[in-house]
Amino acid sequence: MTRADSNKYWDLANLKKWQKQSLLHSNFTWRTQQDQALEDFIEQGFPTRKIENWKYTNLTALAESEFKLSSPLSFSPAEQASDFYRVQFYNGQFCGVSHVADLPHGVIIADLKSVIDKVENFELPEIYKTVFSELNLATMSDGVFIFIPEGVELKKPIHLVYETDADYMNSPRHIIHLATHARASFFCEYWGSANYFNNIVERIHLESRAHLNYCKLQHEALNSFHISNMVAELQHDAHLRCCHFGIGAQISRDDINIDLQGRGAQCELYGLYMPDEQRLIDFHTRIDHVAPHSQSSQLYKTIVADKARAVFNGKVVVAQDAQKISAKQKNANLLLSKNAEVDSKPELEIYADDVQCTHGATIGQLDATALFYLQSRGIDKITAKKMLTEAFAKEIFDLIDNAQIEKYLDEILC
Amino acid sequence: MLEIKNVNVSVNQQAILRGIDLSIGKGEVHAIMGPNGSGKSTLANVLAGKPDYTLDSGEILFEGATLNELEPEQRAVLGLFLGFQYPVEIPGVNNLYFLRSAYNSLQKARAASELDALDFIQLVKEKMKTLDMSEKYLKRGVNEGFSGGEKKRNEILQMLVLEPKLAVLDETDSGLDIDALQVIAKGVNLMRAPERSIILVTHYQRLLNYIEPDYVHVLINGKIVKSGGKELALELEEKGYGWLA
Repeated sequence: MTRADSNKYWDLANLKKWQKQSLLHSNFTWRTQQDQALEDFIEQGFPTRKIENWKYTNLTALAESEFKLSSPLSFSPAEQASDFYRVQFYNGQFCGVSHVADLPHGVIIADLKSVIDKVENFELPEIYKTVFSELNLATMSDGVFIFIPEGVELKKPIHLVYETDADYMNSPRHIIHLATHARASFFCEYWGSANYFNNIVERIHLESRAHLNYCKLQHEALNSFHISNMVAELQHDAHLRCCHFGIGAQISRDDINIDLQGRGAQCELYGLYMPDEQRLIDFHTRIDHVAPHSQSSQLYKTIVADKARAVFNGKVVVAQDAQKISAKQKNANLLLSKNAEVDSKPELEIYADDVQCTHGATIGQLDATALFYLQSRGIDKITAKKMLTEAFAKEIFDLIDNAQIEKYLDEILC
Repeated sequence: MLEIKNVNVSVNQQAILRGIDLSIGKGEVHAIMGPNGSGKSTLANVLAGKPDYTLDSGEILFEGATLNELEPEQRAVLGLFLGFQYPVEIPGVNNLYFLRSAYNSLQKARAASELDALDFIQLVKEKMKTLDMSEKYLKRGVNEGFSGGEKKRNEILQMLVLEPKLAVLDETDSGLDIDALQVIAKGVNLMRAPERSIILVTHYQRLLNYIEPDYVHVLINGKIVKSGGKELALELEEKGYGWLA
């Protein structure tokens, strides 16, 4: 399938209808961009497994699906006392932000639509193009817009809840911008029930010495599709901590692209994926060390049960001028069943000559000797397996740098 | 307490134990000695129910009930304990949490009352004093980064906490300096009781200077070739195993 045309749903005429209702359609400049994006999407179609970046993930189920258009809601969630600034989306529609009154001066946490409406000549930040980011642009729905001004530290994390319970296609675009020396924690959560499709684009910009603690939890419905393109640009000495926790969807794919543009920029990526049943989680990272003295570290673990599959592809590109950088990458996988599958592929492209780069991948089962040891002390086999599995996951939980987020994840995942 | 009747065991289709008969009475301490590769550790592991160790024939009876088909945890519930020759490191599982899970699993299976975290820590701390063990070992992962001696102390600590009816200690003395050996021996001697039996699997007579056995058995090439009293150990120390082969 080179074009997305085996299913009438994905043809130009139908998608044009979607485009008319999209977020940007009222703006003439953007409409031209949207038309172009839609044409590009139709031209390329869904990627097939012949394309290297998609060799482990078959998108036929998505190409054969049909979705509905979400319509605006008149629904505003009750404000509740919370450890978070909570931003809620329900079936693709923005519902509100809690505790706005408490926000420090100059901080913006809003829906993208309201920002576009208010700001004259608002420019959508560019991101790299993929088939799915093009589809996102063509059919864009509302997302969150966050701006933290210079020197401001947001004490409470922002919690984005994105819930879907009907067969919608949602194309949210989130924009997060931290000015110089700003600090914030952003925790986004995707979940739902139904046969829906979330096609997300996130764009993060950290000015010099800004610090963002980013965390994503996705526990999407078993029949849903989740595709996410995240692009982060880091100026000098900016710091991004980025953690991903997920159960996955029918097909779930994360593309994380991080540009370490400024000298001394630093990112730490870690994640834990636990797909079960017949879920597929495909996780691609690409880190571009553009500037010297930049640092990256990646630690991803998967625990794969039943007939589930996990894919990890981590790519590090070191530009010629990016001397004295350090890049570490580790991927560890635990298979809990004979039918579980993991594909792990590290990639390094290094054009500089004074760098420190390491990578490693492991795939294994629970340690039989450790299991026997626990059982021999009277701990039953099921509990013993659970203890060993949690021990494997613990390293990642220990890396969460925010007590509220850790508590929340603990309640959902443990 | 324990009856081993004509037990034949193979590992990876290779016969290791060839017709073992052994009877352990209540309150008795038996030492099983023998050269490397004679099957001593296999016997210890078979008693604990290690998977992949196939019982080709024979029967193991514990207080009259057969152990043959039981899972390791079921054997533990009956009162069997194996002190491992090579205790396993389990990073990510906290040692105290592990000890309490084991203790409470046994209590639960025996319909006895479980201990909460505070009461349990009192119990453990008391036992640790006997073994000169620092409380910092409770905070670490199970055996994680422990030295050889610390691992063996941790095995004995588990035994003291779980209070088994039959303790099988596999080469508990190996790799210990003389001070550690004395501490371990003290722990084992504390466990000696009229209702409790102990099997010591060892290469050397050295351990038996500190823990005096009632019986000594010599295992060579998968068979018990000689049994006797504690004086047999001294004889082995003097003559080696050659004369028995």
